[in-house]
Amino acid sequence: MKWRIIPLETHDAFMNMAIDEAISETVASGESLPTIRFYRWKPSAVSIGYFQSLEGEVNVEECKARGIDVVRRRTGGGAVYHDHDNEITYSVILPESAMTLGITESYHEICGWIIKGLAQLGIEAEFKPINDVITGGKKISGNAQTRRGRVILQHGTILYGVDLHTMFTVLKVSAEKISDKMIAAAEERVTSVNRIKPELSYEDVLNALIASFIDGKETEEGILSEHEKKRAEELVKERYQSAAWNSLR
Amino acid sequence: MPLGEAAKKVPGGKLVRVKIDFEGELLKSVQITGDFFMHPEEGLEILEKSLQEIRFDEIEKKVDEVLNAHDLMLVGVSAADLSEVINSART
Repeated sequence: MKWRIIPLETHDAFMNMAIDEAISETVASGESLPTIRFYRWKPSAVSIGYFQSLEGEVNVEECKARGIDVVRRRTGGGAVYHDHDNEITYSVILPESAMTLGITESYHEICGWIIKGLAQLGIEAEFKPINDVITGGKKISGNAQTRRGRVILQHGTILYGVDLHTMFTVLKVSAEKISDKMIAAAEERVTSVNRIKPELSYEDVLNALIASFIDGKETEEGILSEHEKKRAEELVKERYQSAAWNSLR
Repeated sequence: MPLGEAAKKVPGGKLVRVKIDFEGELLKSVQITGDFFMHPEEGLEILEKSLQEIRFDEIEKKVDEVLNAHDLMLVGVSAADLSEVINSART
């Protein structure tokens, strides 16, 4: 099976989610090859899981004040702060027939590519069901999956750096105020590549991940088709930028 | 109608929150949110609608029935967890 690899692109939150959906459609129809893409978010953004309450999870006013976009994903899971400088995001989109694994097993398989990439950087990490990758007991990558039209879409993030203060300012973490104690508690649960290996650049991490994702696969470097670009622009307007979608719950 | 809210973090699983309207032993409506997964995602609306006008002691059975009938998969939270959190929202 041949894969299309789309190297790192930078888009806003709405376009990033729309591109994932547009590719899912063209992979479903057979128009596009199974695809792996890497991307980052500009401006920085918050994404929430499909079933989460926008008002319950996100400090919307604070996001507005800081120019941080907020978008609802098609995938379940939790709220994520996507810092432009500190995060690498990927999507893997392929027909279910090409990966005949259950939900947990397919998370394990794709997270294995992340783990292999981190290992190449000297970071020992492991899969933690349901959908996390951890190192030294701390989360370094979160992942989410949806299956529609017999296509698997898994997207996820690898933390290059972590800005817990901003994270807790834009995400509502229970009713407590942001306290040093709470940040200290989070320090025990979340980590990032540059905390473990400060000498590594963002590009080092990206290159290691690309190498491990394509390892053993037949691949060709590609770009979005004109059809996918047009469809993604439609989806931005129809869905991802709309209040009806983002305030769904 | 009385309103209630409750949340549960499933050990080794996900967080689920519910807001309910109820009358005595009868659940009138429920909104379910959280960081769990359901495949396909549209199933949650079907589930919420199916739980309207259901007795509190029949919720777990009804959730199982809807998951089976619509071939839905819940990940990170079980039918028993949902029933427990909906029931605990009553008090």
